[in-house]
Amino acid sequence: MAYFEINHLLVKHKSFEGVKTVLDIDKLSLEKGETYGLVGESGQGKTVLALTILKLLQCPPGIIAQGEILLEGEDLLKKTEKKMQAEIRGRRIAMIFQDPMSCLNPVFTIKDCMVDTLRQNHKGMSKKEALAAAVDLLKEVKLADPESTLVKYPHQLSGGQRQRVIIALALCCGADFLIADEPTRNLDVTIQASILKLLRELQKKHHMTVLFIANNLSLVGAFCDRVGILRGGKIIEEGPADQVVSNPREDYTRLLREACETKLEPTNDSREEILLKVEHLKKYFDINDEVKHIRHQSLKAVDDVSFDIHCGEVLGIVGESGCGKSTLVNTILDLFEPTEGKVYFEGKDVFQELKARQGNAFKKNVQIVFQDPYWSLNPRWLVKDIVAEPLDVYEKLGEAERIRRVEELLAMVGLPEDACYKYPHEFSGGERQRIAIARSLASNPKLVVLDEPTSSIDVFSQNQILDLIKDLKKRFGLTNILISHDLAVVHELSNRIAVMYLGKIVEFGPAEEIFEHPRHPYTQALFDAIPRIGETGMEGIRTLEGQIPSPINPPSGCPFHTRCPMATQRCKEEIPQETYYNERHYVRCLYAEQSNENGGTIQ
Amino acid sequence: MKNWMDSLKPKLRSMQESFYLLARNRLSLFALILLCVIVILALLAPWIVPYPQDIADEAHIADKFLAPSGAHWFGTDELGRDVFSRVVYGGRVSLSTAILTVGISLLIGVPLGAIAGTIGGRVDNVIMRITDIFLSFPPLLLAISLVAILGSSLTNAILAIAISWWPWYTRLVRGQAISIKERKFVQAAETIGTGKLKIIFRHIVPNCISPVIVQASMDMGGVILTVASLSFLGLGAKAPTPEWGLMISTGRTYFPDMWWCCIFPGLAIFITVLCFNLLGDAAREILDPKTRKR
Ligand SMILES: Nc1ncnc2c1ncn2[C@@H]1O[C@H](COP(=O)(O)OP(=O)(O)O)[C@@H](O)[C@H]1O
Ligand code: SF4
Ligand SMILES: [Mg+2]
Repeated sequence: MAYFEINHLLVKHKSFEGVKTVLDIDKLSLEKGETYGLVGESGQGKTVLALTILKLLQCPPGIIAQGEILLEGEDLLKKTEKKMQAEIRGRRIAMIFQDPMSCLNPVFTIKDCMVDTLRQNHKGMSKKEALAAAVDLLKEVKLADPESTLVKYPHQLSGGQRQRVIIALALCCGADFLIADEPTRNLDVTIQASILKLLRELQKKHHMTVLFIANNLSLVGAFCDRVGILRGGKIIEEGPADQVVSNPREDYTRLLREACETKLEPTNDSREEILLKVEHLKKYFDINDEVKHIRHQSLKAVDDVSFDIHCGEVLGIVGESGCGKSTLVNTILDLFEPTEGKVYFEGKDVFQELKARQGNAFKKNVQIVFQDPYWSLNPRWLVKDIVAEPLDVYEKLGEAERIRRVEELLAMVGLPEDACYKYPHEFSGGERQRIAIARSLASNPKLVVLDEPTSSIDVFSQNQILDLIKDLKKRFGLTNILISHDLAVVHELSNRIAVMYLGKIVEFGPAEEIFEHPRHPYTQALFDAIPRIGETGMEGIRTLEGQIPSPINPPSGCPFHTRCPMATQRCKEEIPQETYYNERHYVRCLYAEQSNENGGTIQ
Repeated sequence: MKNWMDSLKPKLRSMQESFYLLARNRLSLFALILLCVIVILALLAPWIVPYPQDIADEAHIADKFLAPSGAHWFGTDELGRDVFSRVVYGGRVSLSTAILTVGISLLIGVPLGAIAGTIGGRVDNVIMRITDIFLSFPPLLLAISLVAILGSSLTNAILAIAISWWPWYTRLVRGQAISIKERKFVQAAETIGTGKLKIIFRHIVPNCISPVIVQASMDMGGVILTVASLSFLGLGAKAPTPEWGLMISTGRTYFPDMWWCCIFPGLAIFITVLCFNLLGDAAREILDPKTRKR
């Protein structure tokens, strides 16, 4: 008998549109100590499976029609709610959710939360003991400075830190079966790698069984022993990880695999003329620290950034969350008041024009596509009104002509005509992103900024979106700024790349050059964090440890010295200046020359 | 014309879906049906009540204080008028005052809240200080003093309640607006160059409206109670208007012997207010994004 087994499970969903089958799993079994990866796009029932195992599925609308879920021979579906709560959840099966915020109560500090959970699960534990245990657990999940983390509220932590706290909570009660539902979704590649490493370590140490849910085959290939592919609620393929990844049997698996491979090559259409020029742009936020009662500190989100973009070029901006990528473009787009600096669009000073209320040409010519397609479209508008919003501002069209234009735009991004009369919530993440792209093209802009256009959607749709962007760029001769935390994404489309860290550009140069010889230690770290398809095991993934320092009190000298593997005393004292390799490629590192001499990587 | 039909269809579909969600909960379905019955009765009152002439000041002293019977389901009052006819007709008065009052409050409160929340800064400060002043009085007390100034009549009662009521909506909508304006679609509208007014009224307001609907349906009950209280105190409807509060007020002199004069209008208030509250709860459940697929 296997440690964990699911037999003939059938779960249905009853809604306004009728009853549909969400899960139909004939057999799924896990041996003790095994890591099983379940892969599928969103909407295939992965989360429903996780919730069903813990009997947390909301019923109705859910219906568990038949089946058994056996944990060491005991059927969980037959257990009462009380028994599940007292014996199973947390005690034997722990779960890590894809959205860590939703399982931490925002009004409690991490300390309250952990001490509570610990004392509930270990009868007779005193407050003091619980606190000590909490500190130990936080150390175990490698949170730097556990004491100060304990007194914080969930919203004060970064995504990666929150996920670590959740893992610590899962460890609290000594469960030996862990269900991780897309634990690294929406996290940066660097953070993702370190979380996976941590999970692997803990699993070995506590001899845990792990059901790992993901939408990305390369992640699972690296992390799991066995892999199952879930599609339409059924497991369509199953086998050892390396076999499924390297030699997929089903077409669908092959598609999933292809989705993880970088295949696009940027085209170079860049011309001589400069479209946008940014000069010494700074954006400092004035903030008050409520905890320490310090008022009016400045948070240097963008600190003296200069660059220019040629017509027809794609400029990629990479860096971890919080390094100022979005603030940079939002300031350029006048969503934030700039602190200092100038932006020229086609030679004209943008901020001055906007002040003189002559910024219409700029607004019409520069559009943005945001990261999260769930919040970037007004949920109360029909798609036709969403896409037509720029048309309504710049061209007054009759209704028939307006609809015709919208249909044309929708066709361009690969959506059917009848999408016009639907609401955004009727579309998947990838489709919504297409709607957002259609809207951004409606005013015939010259520059389209794409702020993490693929980060919140499935790997599967990601490549399609990137393809589309590339295609549209060619058709309309667009210039793009492409922002991502994932160097691989940026590489697929960009001609030049800017790497940002703590509000500053630390490396800037032609994409091929940076991709072949990343010069700055930070750029290298970003590279090493990308899981590569076909590599099994975690050895290939190197991680960048440590947190991004606060931009309120950036480290002295080189801002990267707190995490740089090659930092020296000199790095703490001296601020590195731009060192040019050639007139198009520079790096901000004190030891840049050396790396230049030995022809590539700094070692 | 075709386009217009096409854009109507999705709206119908989402209404159908709302109804589906509502009907899932027996209690709220029951409340909805009951409320529909009350509204239909109120609408058709002049044609269906057994003694339409009893709505006015007519007196049949001979028939006074008849206990409930087949001829007079709810009995008769001190002037011999049919209580059933008057209670049903009273629904007309109560519902229309409630709708008017809440409507006026919404018309003032929602735009002010949306403007304050979206624009912020000085405008926000001014608007919110004004609402603070209104909110510092208990609403019933404020309404009573306003009626005392304006003179007591049903119209003045409506005005007075609306004046004491709108700041709540302003507060509610402002809070919503502040969070909605951080949503990316508002920022997208800004980069597109959409005008400020359009952003407020087409982007912000429709997205703030869910909690307002919930609040408004709860408030309908509250307003009915307040109107009844004012009338009970002699500050609202005047005899012979068949207003529930007024009927209780007159009837209470004869309580408990002639219990039917008070109990039936009281029950009418109770049931209507309860229905609106249940419906408010149901609306909250339906409009809560968690229960809807995103
Ligand atoms: N409580 C529920 N009961 C039954 N089905 C549900 C429930 N919630 C969502 N579903 C449906 O299950 C399907 C799969 O959703 P989900 O588990 O979120 O996919 P994934 O985890 O792969 O992203 C969707 O079509 C969704 O409508
Ligand atoms: S200057 Fe020093 S700390 Fe900074 S990147 Fe170079 S080696 Fe690392
Ligand atoms: Mg999911």
